[in-house]
Parts: sequence; C-alpha cells; structure tokens
Amino acid sequence: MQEPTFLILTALAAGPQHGYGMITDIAGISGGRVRLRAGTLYAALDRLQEEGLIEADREEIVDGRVRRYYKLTGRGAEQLAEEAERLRSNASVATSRLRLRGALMGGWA
Amino acid sequence: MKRLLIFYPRDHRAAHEDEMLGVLYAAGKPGLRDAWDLALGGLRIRLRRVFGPGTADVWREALANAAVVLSLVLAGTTLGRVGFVLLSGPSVLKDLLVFTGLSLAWYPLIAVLVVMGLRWPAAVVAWGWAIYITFWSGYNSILVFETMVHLTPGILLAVLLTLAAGQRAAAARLGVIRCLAWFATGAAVMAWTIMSPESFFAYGMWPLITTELSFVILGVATGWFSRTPASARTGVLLLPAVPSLLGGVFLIDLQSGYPHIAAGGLLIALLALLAARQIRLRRA
Repeated sequence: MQEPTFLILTALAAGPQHGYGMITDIAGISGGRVRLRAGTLYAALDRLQEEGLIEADREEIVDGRVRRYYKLTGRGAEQLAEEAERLRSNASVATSRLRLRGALMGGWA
Repeated sequence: MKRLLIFYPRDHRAAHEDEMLGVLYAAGKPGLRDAWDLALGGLRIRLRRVFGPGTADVWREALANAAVVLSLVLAGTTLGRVGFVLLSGPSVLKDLLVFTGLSLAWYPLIAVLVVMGLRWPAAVVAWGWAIYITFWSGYNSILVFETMVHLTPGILLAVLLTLAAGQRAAAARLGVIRCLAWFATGAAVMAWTIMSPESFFAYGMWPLITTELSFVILGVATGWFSRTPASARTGVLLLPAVPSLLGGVFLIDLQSGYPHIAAGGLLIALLALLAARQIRLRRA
C-alpha cells in the first residue's frame, strides 16, 4: 500500500471526512511532510471507491458548493489494520536492530 | 482551473466537479503545481479505467473484435485488387500475379476460417502468411508499397488471431451487415490506394480525391469504434494496421505538404465526432 493511500485510510479511520478535511488531516498526521493536492486526492478516492475500501457518506452545501463526505468501509478498515500491523512489525524489527547496532558500536568505542 | 477538469472522464466530472473545485479553492488561489496535479489526476483515472483491474473482459472482447474486423478488411483488400485489375486490363493482371503471388488467396481463406470460428487453423494460416511475407519483403525491399501494405497488417492479424478467443461470438455480435461493411471498406481502401500512386503523375486530381476518401473512412471508423469501451479498445488494437493499409495515400500526403495533413486531421476528427454523436443519439 502506497503512503498516500495509507494516510487517506488513516484519516478516514477517525470518521467521515470531506476532501479538504482529509488534506489538512493528512498534513497533520504526517507532520506536514505529505500535502496532497486535489488531483492526487481525487484520483486516489476514485480508486479506493472502486476497490470498495471507502464509500460516499453524505453531502452538504457550503458556500453554494457540494461538499461530499467519505467514510471507511469494513473492508477498508481490515486492509488498513493489516497494513498498520505490517508496518508496525517492520518498524519493530528495524528499531531492535538499530538498538543492537548502537550497543555494538558503543561496545567497540 | 475548471477547464483542466476536461482531463477527467465525463461521469467523474459530473459527480465530483463541484467538490473538487471547492477543495482547490479552499486553501486560496490554486497555483501551477495544483494545475499540473489536477491534469495528472485526470490522466491517472482515465488510464486505470482503460488498463486497470476489471478491464480484462473488455480487452478480451476487443481482441476478438479486432481479429474479426482486420481479417474481413484484409480479405476485402483482395477484392479491391482484383477489381482494380479487372478494370485495368491483362497486363496489370500479370504484374499483380508476379508481385503478389499467393497473397490473393490467403486473406480470404483466413477470413472464412475466422467467421467459422476455427481460431487455431486461422492463426496457423495467418502465421504462415506472415512468415512468407516477411521473407518475401526481405528479397524485394525496393517494393516499398507492397511491403507496407502487407507486412504490418499480416503480422498484426497473426498476433490477434493467436491471442483472441471467441472470434465466432465477435462475428455474431458484429452481424452480417457490419461484417460485409468492413469487407467493403477493405475493398474500397485497397482499390483507391492502388489507383492513387498509379495516377499521381498522370491525373493531378486523383491523389486529392483518394486522400479525402481515406479521411472519410478513417473518421467514420474512429467514430464507430468510440461507441462502447470494447469497441474503443478495438480501434486502438487496429491502429497499427491503418497507416499500412493507407500507406500509399499517406506518402502522397507527405508530398503534398503539412497544411494538407493538418486539414485532413481536422476532417478525421470532425467526422469521428459526428459519427460518435449520431450513434449516441440513436442509442438514446
């Protein structure tokens, strides 16, 4: 799973959000490192809807424009959980090896 | 910025245009990077719809359509050659037999096998022809016109027949009238294409008329092929054969200069648009 996809699903895990809400939330989650633009976001939303990982929730009109909310589906939540577990496991291995490396380097020094 | 949404499929625009514009302007005036990202997003969606998962069945249908259409068009070219020869007299008949040898028999045989649903015999014959024409063109490299007309479509047909299943069903979907129409298209293209280089130096008007006819055929065919996702893909699969089939005509275009080609391109686009629109109106 690519990082933007992971971040979009993570943003929606907290509850339904509209497009601009997701962009600001993702910027917050990633510490400002990932700033999705409208083209990238809507291409990803189109694909995720097609794959059944997210779905449209509700609409509202703000300043004369439609604002559509999206939510995570059950399948989307499952895939996000699997991906989070995979990343957590990888990160855990990386952390323990770095700790070991630090100890060895400290020992040699 | 709204104009850039033209990169998105029509149904996507209808569903999301308003909210996308809302997102674009929510953080202030969008810049050049936003515009670039917007265009790329549209292309990504279009590419996924054409090649993405779930399009395999449509591509299979398109492959079968393309195999049937190309075999009919190429069989039609034989009729075009024979018609031209009958009009031109016995000396040309001798030249034709010397230059083309067995080519007059192979395409009609392949087309008959395809329509009968005998996929593998058709593929074997097509590969036999493709190999023969490859060696033959190697020995006759000065016969540029003959090589262009036969080589690319011959190999393309062999590849399509090998890859495409369900050719009989595709022929049934096309129906008798459309099958005959594609056969006649091949005959018309070949007859006019042969006539144009022959008469280029003798009659200044012929090349022009020939070129316009080829544009009409291309335009209407493009429009016809834009009807459904499968037929649009059929058109894409057949594209490599088009310049070869119209080889002589395009050579004349190049001699006539670029404005003429540009005008021809516009004519193709206009006719394609009209044909696609007519078909949509009829379906609605």
